[in-house]
Formats: sequence, C-alpha cells, structure tokens
Amino acid sequence: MTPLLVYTLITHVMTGILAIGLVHLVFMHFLKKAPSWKYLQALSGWSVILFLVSWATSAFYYVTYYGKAVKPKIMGGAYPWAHQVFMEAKEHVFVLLPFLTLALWLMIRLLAKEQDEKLKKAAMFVAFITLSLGAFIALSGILISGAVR
Amino acid sequence: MEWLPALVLVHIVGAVLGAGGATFAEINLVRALRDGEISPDESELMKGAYAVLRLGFFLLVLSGFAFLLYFRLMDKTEFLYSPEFWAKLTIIGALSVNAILLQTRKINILWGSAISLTSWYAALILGVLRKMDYPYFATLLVYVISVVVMFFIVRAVHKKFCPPHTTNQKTS
Amino acid sequence: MDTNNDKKIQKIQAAAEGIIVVAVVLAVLTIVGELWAPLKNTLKSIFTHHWLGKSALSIIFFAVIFLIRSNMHADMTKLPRKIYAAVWISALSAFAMTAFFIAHTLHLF
Repeated sequence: MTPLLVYTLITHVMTGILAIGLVHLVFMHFLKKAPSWKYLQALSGWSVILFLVSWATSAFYYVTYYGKAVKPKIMGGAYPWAHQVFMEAKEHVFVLLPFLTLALWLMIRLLAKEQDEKLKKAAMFVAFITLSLGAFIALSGILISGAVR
Repeated sequence: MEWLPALVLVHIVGAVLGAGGATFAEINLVRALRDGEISPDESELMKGAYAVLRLGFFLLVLSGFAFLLYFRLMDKTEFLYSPEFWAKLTIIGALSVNAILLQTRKINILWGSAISLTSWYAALILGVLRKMDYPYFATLLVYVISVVVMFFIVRAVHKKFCPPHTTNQKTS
Repeated sequence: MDTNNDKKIQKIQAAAEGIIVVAVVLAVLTIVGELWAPLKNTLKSIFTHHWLGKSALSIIFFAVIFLIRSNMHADMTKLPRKIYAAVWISALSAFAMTAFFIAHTLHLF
C-alpha cells in the first residue's frame, strides 16, 4: 500500500468512528432534561463533516485499491462472506449516514430556536437509527479487515 | 515512529478511566443516598465521575479502532477474529446499551450499576488476558454470572449504607 | 411564526423527503444492479465504478429534492411524521440491502 492509501484508510476509519461517536454523544445528550442546543449543533454539525470526509476517503481507497488488491485476498481466503455480505452491505448502507446526520443537524438548529417535544423525539430517533447503522458499519469494518490474510 | 506503545497507553488509560469512573460513580451514589436524597452538590460530584467514565469510553473505542488499523496495516489480522476480542466487543456493546437504559431510566439502578462495574472490569481483565483463546460463549457466561454476583454485592452495599426505598432513586 | 424558523422547517421537510428518495433509489439500484448486469455496467461506464455511480446519484437526487422542496411551504405539525417516515424507510432500505446480500451469498437469488 502506498503512503497515500495508508493515510486514506486511516482517515476513513478514524473520521467514521469519530462521527459515530459524536452521534452517540448527541443521542445521550438528548436524554438530558435540559440539553444544550449550541453543544448539540456543534456535535451534529461536525458529525456531518466527518461522515463526508469518511465517505470521500472511502471512495478513493475502494475504487483505486480495495477492488484489485484486498477483495481478491478476502474472496480467496477462509471468510469470503466478509466481502460478499459485510462489505457489500457496509458500502451501501454508509451512503445513508451523511444525509441522516444532515437532517439531524437541521432539526437541532430549529429545536434551538423553537422547542417542540414531538420534533425533539423525532430527532432522537434519527440519532438512534444513525447510531445503530453506524455501529453495524463499524462492526462490518472489523470483520472485513480481519478477513484480509 | 512506533505507534503500538502509544496506542496501548491510550487504550489502558481509557480502560482505567472507565473502570475508575464507574467505581467512583457507584461510591458517590451510595454516599449520596445515605441520607435518602441526592443534593445538588452530590449530583455535581456524580456528574464528574460520569464525565470521566464517558471520556474513558471514548478513548477506549477510538484507540480500539486505531489498534484495528494498526493490525490491518501490519497484516496481523488474525486477532480480529479471536473469541476473546469479540467477547470484549460484546461487553463494550452491553456497556453502551446499559448507559442508554440508565439514562432513560429503563433499568433499575442496582442492575445498571452491576452491569457497568462488571463490564468495565471485564474489559480491563480481558485486555490483560490477551492471547488466552477462551471460547466466546464461555467468556460471556462468566460475564453474565459476574453481573449477577455484582448485583447482589451492590444490593448488599446499598442495603447497608442507604435507607430503605432509596434503591430505586433516580440519579441526576 | 418567525420567517427564519419557517425556512428551517422547510429545509427539514426537504431533507426528510430527500432521504426517503435516496433510501429507495439506493436499495433499488443496489438490488436490481446485482440481479441485472446491464444496470451495474451502465453505472460503471458512466461513473467508472458502480458504487461511485450510486454515491453520485444519491447526492444528485438528494440535492435536487432538497433545493426544490426547501422553497416550498412546510407544515410544522406534519414534520415529525415526515422525519419518522424518512428514518423508517432508511432502516428498511439498510435491512433490505443487507438481507439481499445474505441471500445472494447463500445463492437464494
């Protein structure tokens, strides 16, 4: 792997995990009696940016390297399902996350100005599903990396 | 630069902060409930312990994924399919779910404390007992039994130090 | 109601509708693409890689819907329902794609 690909992979994983972590923080913070909307705006805004960076870096790594160098190793190894199920699912499910976090950020911006209990619950649900999908993607990443031997 | 020692250090710090935070959260809770109610000062003290705990969790997860990257880039990926690694991941997952259940008051505080304490110390112990290849389900069975044992310990401590009917007290 | 908040409500509605369309389009492109090679090949020929094509189309669909709908009237009372719809359809899309790849790997399709 070239140094550029190494840094791309590192950036993809770490920004993705950070983004999921921020969504987790958003969700937990929503559970407080009096959430700090400014804090939530910052967290959700950063999660959008981090997911976009993770998306862009994954695109570069996937298209230029994974297909020709990593996928054959997985498919020829003991755990081909790591690509056939988890990589295929992960690469498509991930596409939903930046849009969901963008919606979350927009909702928090409104909630900061206008308190609405129903909208707050809906925003919490967005955070929860984004977190769940993010956790699935992170675990899939572990399975895929572990199958590269 | 050799990254592994730095990663190990951050991971250990995360686990220690988490286990320490969980321990002091429980100690502070018992102390706070001794008079039957949680004062604002006591609540602030517990918030501090929870903040340390959350920081520990984030350091643990971030450094954990940094480890994943390190092993992937060094072509040493067998570890990622090891039973004890997945047992540790399951326990971290249980910790995360427990935090949500505690925050939403959907779990009794004694069970929540038991799961939190057991999970953090289990993560520490599993980190120390690396490469021992314990079977996944056996590890989880020991974990579940430990949670139950911890519940009875926490309940006994609350019975001894806290007035009756405070075991369902909500924390701030 | 404050105009600023009206704009925010419109944007949230637009985002929710954009997500619904993206979730459906993504699931259809992914599943149909695996079952019918010409679709996957078309995406590859236009975008150099089928996944890049799905990503690009997702962004395009979302952007178009967002830009159009964020200038149209939105009802605050209906907003939570639209958000729930967006989230449930996203979850369903993720489940459908994952279930498909499991079934595909097991040669059920």
